[in-house]
Amino acid sequence: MSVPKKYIVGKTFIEGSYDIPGNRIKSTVFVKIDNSDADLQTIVKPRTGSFKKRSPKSRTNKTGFLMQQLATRLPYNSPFPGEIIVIHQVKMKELELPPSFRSSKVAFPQTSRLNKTSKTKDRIPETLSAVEIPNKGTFNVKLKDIYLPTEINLSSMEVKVPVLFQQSQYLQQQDSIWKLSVIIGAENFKKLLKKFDNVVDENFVIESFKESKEFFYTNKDYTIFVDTPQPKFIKKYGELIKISILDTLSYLTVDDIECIIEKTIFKK
Amino acid sequence: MILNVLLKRLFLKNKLSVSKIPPTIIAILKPLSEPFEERNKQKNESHKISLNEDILLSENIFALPLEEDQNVSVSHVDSLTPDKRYLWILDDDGFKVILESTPCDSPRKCACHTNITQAKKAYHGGELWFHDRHSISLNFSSGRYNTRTEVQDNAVKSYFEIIGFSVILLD
Repeated sequence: MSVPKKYIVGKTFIEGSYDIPGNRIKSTVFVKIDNSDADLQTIVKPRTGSFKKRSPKSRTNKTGFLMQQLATRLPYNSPFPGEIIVIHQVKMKELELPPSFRSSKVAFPQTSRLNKTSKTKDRIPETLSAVEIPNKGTFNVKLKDIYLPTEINLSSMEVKVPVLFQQSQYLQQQDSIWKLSVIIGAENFKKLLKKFDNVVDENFVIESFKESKEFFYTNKDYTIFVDTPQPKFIKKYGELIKISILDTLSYLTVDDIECIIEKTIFKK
Repeated sequence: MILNVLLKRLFLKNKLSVSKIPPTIIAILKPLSEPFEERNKQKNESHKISLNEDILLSENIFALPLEEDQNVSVSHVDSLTPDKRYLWILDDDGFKVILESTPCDSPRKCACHTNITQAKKAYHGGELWFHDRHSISLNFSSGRYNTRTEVQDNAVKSYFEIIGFSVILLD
């Protein structure tokens, strides 16, 4: 069993790589222990690649096996809360999904913009199925969120840093993480990564914008956002109101905000 | 319109080469500036360009007016898609253009305005689409080399017209 060390960040994550016997999937599992609510979060990332189609029965067994493997890896006195939250990379390539997820017909929106009026977690079903783990009991398995292990280049540095990315209403694509680095500056981004144990999620975005002194200008309807209040914009769009980057997040995504800087203007 | 006519007359009167910007136009343009220079001054920031955004993508950059053997992707006026979007900048040599989707080893993976200038000084920049070899739609969307006023926008438009383009200004 190989355990890449780069995603082991402090005590927050336990990480391992598991071979599931009988098929060609090798899964990387990230276990997040959240002491605040005593939840145990598991991230399962099947490696992409070709593998044989399996019968539903064998797939069920393999999911159970994975959970067993996970359970045996946990310390005996781990703060098991009575439920396991499985966080799964959902690509709607059917073969990559264990049957419990597939049968629940869950499709996390990969490309479409999330409804900004609702919280991300409200859009993701909670309990998907129960999993019985020997000597541990039955646990509710949840698809709560997705953490995707990836590496990113900071905007102005050659260095690649490992990141666990969680899709949110503000930042939907892992390919856009570098934009955050551009907006808040590479050094600030690096500091925040350390603070957040390399997890780039909704809280990371909010926190980074809270600390940022960046601001933009918008019209009364919040439909036009400009980087600087140039005379031609004021002539065209009327009075422009100064808006902090944190408040901008109520209207725009990180992609949109980077566009304001790169193109001087963003229109909703 | 009046400005345009005056500039054209002055240009013809001075018999300036099309590769040189008429002084009357330079007088209207914002002074040559570093990327994000004005933004950083206005906002008291030090916003920097990202990794490799100063690489000169020289093989993909071309000057305007178009050389006879220079091919461009053309778009219909009603269909200005990102894949056919070009970036333009204006510096002392005149207009230089690159297809935005040109691959670049930068975080954004495609060309930006400083990949045309090598992060050196320029007057203004923006985006454009070719409708044919003598007709374009353009805007002034460049955070790195922006324009401040409509007068500057119109001066740039006039220079495009002087070198032989029919121009549609985009909102």
